[in-house]
Amino acid sequence: MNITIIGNLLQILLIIIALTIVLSSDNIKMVIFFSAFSLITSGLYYFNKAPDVALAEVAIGSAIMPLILIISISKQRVFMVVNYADDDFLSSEEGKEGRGYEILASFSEYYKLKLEIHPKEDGEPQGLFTNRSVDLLVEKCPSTNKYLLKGKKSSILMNKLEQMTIDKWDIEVLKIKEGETDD
Amino acid sequence: MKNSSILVCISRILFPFILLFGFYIIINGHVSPGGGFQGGAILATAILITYFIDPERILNLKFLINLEKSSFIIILLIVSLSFLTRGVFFTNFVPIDGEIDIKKIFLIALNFFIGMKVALGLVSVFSTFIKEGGYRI
Repeated sequence: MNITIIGNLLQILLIIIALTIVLSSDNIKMVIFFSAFSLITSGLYYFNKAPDVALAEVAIGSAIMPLILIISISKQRVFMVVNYADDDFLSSEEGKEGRGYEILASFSEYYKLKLEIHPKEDGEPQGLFTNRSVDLLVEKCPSTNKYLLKGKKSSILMNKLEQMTIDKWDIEVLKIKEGETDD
Repeated sequence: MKNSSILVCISRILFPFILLFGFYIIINGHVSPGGGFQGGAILATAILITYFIDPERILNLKFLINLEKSSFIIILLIVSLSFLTRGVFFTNFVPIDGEIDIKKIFLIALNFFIGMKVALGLVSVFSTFIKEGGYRI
C-alpha cells in the first residue's frame, strides 16, 4: 500500500523532471536534471521488483552519461579554424591583426568560445575523430580575390557569422552539407 | 581552469568506497542482485572519478586494452572447460550432482572476469574520448 503511494509520487516527479529537461536552455543544468531523472528511474525499478536493472541504471545513467555529456559540452568551447589563405588575412600578431582575425575574434567572444587557428601544414590531426571537429575553413578564391569561409550547414553558428559579414564585400560565407568535406 | 576544492575533496573520500562497493557487487553476484556488468560499471565510475582529482593523469591505455582482451580469452577458456568434464560447451564444469559450494566457483569466476572486462572497456573508451583533441577541465 505504502509502496504504491511512493511509486505514484516518483512517477509524478519523473514527469516534471522530464518536462524540465526538455524545456531547459542551460546545458549544464540539463545534465544535472538528467542524472536526477536516472536516479528516480532506478528507484522506480527497485519498487517494481527489478533491483538488478536498478543497479545498472544507477551506475550508467547517473554517473557515466553525465560525464560523457559534460566532457562533450566542454569540448564544444573551442572554435577550430583551418587557414588555407596564404596572406595576412588571419594573422594574429600583436598590433597588426588581419581583418578576418578581428571578425572571428569578436564572433568567438560573442559565443564565449576559444578561438584556435591552425595553419594548413599542421600535419595529421591527432586523436580518433579530430578530422571531423574542424569548424571553419578559410580559403582565398584565386579568380575573384574573395575570402571564402566554409562551414557546416548543420551548425547554427554559421548563420550568425553570415550576419556579421554581410556588409563586407570580399568575404563570403559558404555552408556545406555534412560529409562533403574531408577536413 | 581548476576543479573546485570541494569536488576534489569529496572525490578523494568517495573513491575507495565506490571501489569496495563495486568489488562487493561482483563477488556477491551469484547470491544477490547485481553481477559482472553492474559491478564493472561501478568500478569504471570509481576509476573515472580520479580524473576529477588529477586531470593531468595519463593511464597506460595499451596495457589496459591488452588486459581487457586477455580477460575475454579467459572467459572463453572457463566456459569451454565443461567440454572436458561434461562434453558440452557453455555450462558449468562441475558435474550436475556435485556440491553446491564447489559449483558456485564457476559463477564467481565468470562474474569476476566479466566485471574486469566491462570496467576496463569503459575506462579505455572514456580515456580515448577525454584525450582526443586535448581536453582541459
